[in-house]
Amino acid sequence: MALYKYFIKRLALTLPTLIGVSIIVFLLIHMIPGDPVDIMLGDRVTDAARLALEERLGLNQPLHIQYWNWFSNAIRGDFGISIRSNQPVIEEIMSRLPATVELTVVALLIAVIFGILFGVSAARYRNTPIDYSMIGFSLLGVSIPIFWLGMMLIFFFSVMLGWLPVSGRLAMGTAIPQVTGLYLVDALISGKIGAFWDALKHLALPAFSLATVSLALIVRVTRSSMLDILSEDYIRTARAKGVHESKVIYTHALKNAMIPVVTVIGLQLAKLMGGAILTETVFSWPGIGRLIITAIGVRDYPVVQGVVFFVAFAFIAINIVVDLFYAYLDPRIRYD
Amino acid sequence: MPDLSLLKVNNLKIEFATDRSKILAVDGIDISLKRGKTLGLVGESGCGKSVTALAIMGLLPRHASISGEVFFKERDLLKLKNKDMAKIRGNQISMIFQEPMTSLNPVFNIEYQMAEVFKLHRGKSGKEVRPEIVDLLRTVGIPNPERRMKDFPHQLSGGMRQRVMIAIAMACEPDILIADEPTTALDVTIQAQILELMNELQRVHDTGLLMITHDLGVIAQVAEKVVVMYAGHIMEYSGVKEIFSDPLHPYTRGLLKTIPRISRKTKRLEEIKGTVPHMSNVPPGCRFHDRCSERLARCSKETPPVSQVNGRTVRCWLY
Repeated sequence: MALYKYFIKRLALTLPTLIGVSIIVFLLIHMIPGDPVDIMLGDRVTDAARLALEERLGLNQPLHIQYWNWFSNAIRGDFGISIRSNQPVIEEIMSRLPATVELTVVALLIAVIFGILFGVSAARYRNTPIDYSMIGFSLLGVSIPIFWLGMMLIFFFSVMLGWLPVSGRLAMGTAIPQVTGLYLVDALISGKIGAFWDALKHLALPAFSLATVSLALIVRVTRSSMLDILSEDYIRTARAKGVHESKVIYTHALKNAMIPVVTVIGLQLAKLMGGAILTETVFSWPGIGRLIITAIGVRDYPVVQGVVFFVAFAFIAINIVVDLFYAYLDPRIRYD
Repeated sequence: MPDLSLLKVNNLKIEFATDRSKILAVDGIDISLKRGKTLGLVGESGCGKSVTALAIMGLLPRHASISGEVFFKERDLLKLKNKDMAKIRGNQISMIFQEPMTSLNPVFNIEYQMAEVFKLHRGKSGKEVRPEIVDLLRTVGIPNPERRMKDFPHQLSGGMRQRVMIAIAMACEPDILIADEPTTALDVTIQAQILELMNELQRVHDTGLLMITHDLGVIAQVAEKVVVMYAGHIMEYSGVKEIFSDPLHPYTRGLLKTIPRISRKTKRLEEIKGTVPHMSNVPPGCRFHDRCSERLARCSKETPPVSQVNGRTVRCWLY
């Protein structure tokens, strides 16, 4: 009822956002210095050959025509052909997406579960050693450069101890039938426990290093939000009713404290969906992040545009979900 | 004569340790409450009234150190484990607060917040207690309770929310109800209705009521006995009639003078000069001496003992 109306209203607001984002993305990429034609052909070619290629790629058209061509195709799911690989951009994105999604979801699960747990404990045992160690841990988490952490993890767990693989998604010779592209899921579907275990081992280090920053942020936000809520009158009421302390914390307080936490989780999820560039690079993880880095390097406009547009779309979609979550958590938003 | 008190507080002291100093918020008070009776606890803000109530409920923060005895049905509540105390709270002793606007959890509906008490103390499930919730809401004067119980707190007015708070407090028919300024945040007509409702429920369930207020008008309406508190001490403790007809302590007299009277024409409202001392900096001697109009030489040097005058308790060098 009220939630449904809220959803429709929220959905209608996304269309102008999407158009605005597409214009900005388009213009920004054309402002990057460097010409794709130069990169593709080198500098020892005739002007005729240059013109022919420009013609073929549509780069000789006025900018607004180029934009319109691109946008009208994009809303039909056609982001053009990659200049570098000659593959449709959408296929390039879709072939990388499962790797990124799998990494993101696992990393975010780690971050959310432990982040909330740690943040709540820090608030509950405020100004005790538990609290101090949580604060210290989260300070470390946001301060450590992720590529350095990644390399240290590889050094310690892969090189020294030899427990976990250095890079990639699967060991050589392990095969998983492709259904969703998410190896953990595919391995479970096909009942290959060995392959599942292998995929999990490959995922462990990148997911952990990717989770660190989000985890640290979630700890901090959860802690401060919980501290605010725990001094509210209705928390005293709950205690006066005889509610047990852990239920006071995890039901009465946490549901109120979750709103800022959900915001942070949403932002982190959207950010990670764009491909964790550093993590994917350090661990040679074949995801969106590495796709865009390669594309920028060779001025592969269609791919860069496609990925950025796709990431913007992910942001918008995740924001809608976050807003719906607010409405679920707080009736005052729902009934406005 | 056997002591029929339901609640007996002996020499209760409450101290808060801060980084710099220790603050003695309540300094050795003795009160008792009988079944079906009302004890008023009056004083200005910062006298230690609410802290006393929270100590009885076991709801003070961890950095508070409490000594003395709080006997409830022959058990010292201060010695109970958290788990056992939680079984008493909201069940045998319950409490309502000053701020109806913020005392209910904004993210749960009324039904959930009421059902919780039944689940906790009666072991009943959500569906089972629905008729009881409806009955209870009707008793406290919420119209259309079947629909209203689905509402969230922000959809109710302050008076309605306080009625819900009372309903929650009375759900398990407690032996003792502690009301901490329950009507202060409400306007006068609603205040009268709420007091009426509390009186009615108290009569029906034979509940002992500890009414905390700074408003002597409220005390006159509901209480049989009155404790006048000042800066963590009990200044006077006697029957409500005696307090109003023959106040012993200069502080009590001061409080009574501050009540505006229609029959008396004055340009300015009466006041007691000065403010309650901060508890980290309590004056020597009688704590009220610097604001007292009947001060003696010894008042600023020696703390007056508690004395009995015609069966009434007072702490003042005048007696």
